[in-house]
Amino acid sequence: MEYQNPQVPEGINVSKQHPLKEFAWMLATVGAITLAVVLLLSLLAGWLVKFVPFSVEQQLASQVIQQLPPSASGPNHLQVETYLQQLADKLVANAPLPEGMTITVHYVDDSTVNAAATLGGHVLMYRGLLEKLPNENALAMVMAHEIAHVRHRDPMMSLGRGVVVTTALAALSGFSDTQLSGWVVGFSGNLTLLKFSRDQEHAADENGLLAVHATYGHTGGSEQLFEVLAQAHGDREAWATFLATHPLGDERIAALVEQAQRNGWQQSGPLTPLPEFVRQL
Amino acid sequence: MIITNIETVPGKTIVKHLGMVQGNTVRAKHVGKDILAGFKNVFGGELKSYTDLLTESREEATQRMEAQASAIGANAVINVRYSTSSVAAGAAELFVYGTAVVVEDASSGS
Repeated sequence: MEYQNPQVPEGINVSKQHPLKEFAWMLATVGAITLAVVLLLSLLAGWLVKFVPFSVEQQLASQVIQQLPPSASGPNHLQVETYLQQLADKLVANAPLPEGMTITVHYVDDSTVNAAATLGGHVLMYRGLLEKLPNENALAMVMAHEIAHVRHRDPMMSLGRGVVVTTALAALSGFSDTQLSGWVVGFSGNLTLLKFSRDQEHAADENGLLAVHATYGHTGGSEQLFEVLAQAHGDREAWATFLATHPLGDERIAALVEQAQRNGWQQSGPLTPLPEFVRQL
Repeated sequence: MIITNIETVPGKTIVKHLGMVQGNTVRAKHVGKDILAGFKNVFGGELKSYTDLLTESREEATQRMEAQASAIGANAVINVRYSTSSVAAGAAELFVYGTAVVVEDASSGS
């Protein structure tokens, strides 16, 4: 028997695949699964949250009210706020909300061109937007839009989804309990920045126009709201936040015109001017 | 390729000794199978997923050993031994080694 001891070629016991390639593949898989799970959870949470009674939402909202900027900063702050509240009440009277739902309007002395609906039926109206609106009809449209968000429980849905998503992501990324709760609290600290989907915005537009028509008998002036928002485009900061969540102005105006035509509503009529103290803001 | 765990191949003569060849692999089951195996611990019974895991590992290690043997021109591996070790939680190493040889039919052998 002949004896030899040749060198065995290297690499047979080692995988030929580049480790980075495998890593990328695994990362993509884990990412896709995580995304699917989080998406599913968020849809489930959004659906379940609609069954939470409005009274519970109001209790949660007590946090939000504390975060609001101190009121009565201007001389006619209370006058403006009362006027806005009366306008909201008028809209609610003409397009009633479900039992137990209330709207509380807060006037925020800030140059942001925006309005927001948050938990517990609290609606924030910023000075920046009020200054730019040409008449009460446009103001009523934005008010009715925010009231519609409350009616559709959109802030609650957004909160539920947000909490579920942050919790799920934090749990998956392996944060400790204290960090986790810190994160969730941090999230709810930004309740006034709740985001809604485009579908929710469209639904709120539609419901808002319904209330405006029920109140004024025509839908004139509503489109001016979107023109104002479109003009604010130049104001990059204000618009950037608005653009991110809201459908484009033209698209929204077209949808409203279509809705009015479908229902045979009058699209123009006498426009109600804003009171003097609002115009002088 | 002839694989045997005795030191000769019956009916053949070893004409050339080529040294040791080896194959190894470390494999894990995916997390779902690990969870199922965890449940199985409660009830008892065969942990089929781990049986599968080790069977696959053994096959892969053997294939690698054969690949080494053919790379150096052997046509048989004798005195083959298997060994295993645990290198990480939920992962098992299978290691197989033997001696690569060239065999010929006994009649034509010298």
